[in-house]
Amino acid sequence: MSIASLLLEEKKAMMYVEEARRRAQEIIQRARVEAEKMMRETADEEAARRELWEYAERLKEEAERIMSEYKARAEKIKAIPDELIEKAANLIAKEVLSYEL
Amino acid sequence: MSSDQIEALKEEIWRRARERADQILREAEAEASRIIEEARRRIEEMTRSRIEPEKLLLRRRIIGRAISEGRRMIIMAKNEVVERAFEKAIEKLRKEAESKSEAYVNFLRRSLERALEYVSGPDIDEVVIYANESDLSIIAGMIKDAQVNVRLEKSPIIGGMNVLSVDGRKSYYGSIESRLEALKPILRERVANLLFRGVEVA
Repeated sequence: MSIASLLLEEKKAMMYVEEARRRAQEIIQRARVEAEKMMRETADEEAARRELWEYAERLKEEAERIMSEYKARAEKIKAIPDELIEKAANLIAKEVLSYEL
Repeated sequence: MSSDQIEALKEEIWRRARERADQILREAEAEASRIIEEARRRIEEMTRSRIEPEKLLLRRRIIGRAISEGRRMIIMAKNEVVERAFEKAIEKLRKEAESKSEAYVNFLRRSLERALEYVSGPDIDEVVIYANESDLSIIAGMIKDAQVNVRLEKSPIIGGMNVLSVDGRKSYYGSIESRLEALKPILRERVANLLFRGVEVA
């Protein structure tokens, strides 16, 4: 063992750190490439159209659900009991004949 | 320098190198995450500014149309039920008129009083009462003491009467059909309250 071997070890350690720096640059470069790819895809008109089309399809399903809810409510209204219709008809007939209105 | 000291120095050199390399890689990972996060944020911003307004328009168009169509269905259903009540009421009124019930005869009397009060006057010589054929004899009995000359004419109405001065200047519409028509806006509201109270709020 000598000072020369220490210097050699120091050099190896520096190279080790340099390798880490190179790998770090790679990591950052990969992230930049990935970010650019993501941005390109977003800027892509076709992707935007696709997203809007998919959104419209989801909205159509939602609209169908809304319509069937309203339809069920309308059916419930139409199925009003005959006694109530009778009561309403009596009210109308009474008012027409009574001259109070 | 002893070999132990040299060995210790070597270990120290590598400990520091490893520490530095780890730090460099940690910082690189953090920077990479920041780059991706920044891209996501910008994408979100771009999407918001470009696609979101279009999405909003789509939502308004598709969902808005469904809601307004749904509301129309509810209104139509309510109208249908209210009309059923009015049809039933006409049936009842027809029966009242045909059976000459007490309520109907009272109605006829009040119609006549109001009609004569409204149509007759110092400048009116004669009035014509249009009524259902089956009511003419009843009305004839009611007008014995009338202050004005009255002519009775049969008319295809359910009941009640329409009265016109002979010169055509004054008229009074007191037939069941006319009363129903005149009262319909008020009655529709009352009937709807009666029918749909607690059933549905559109």
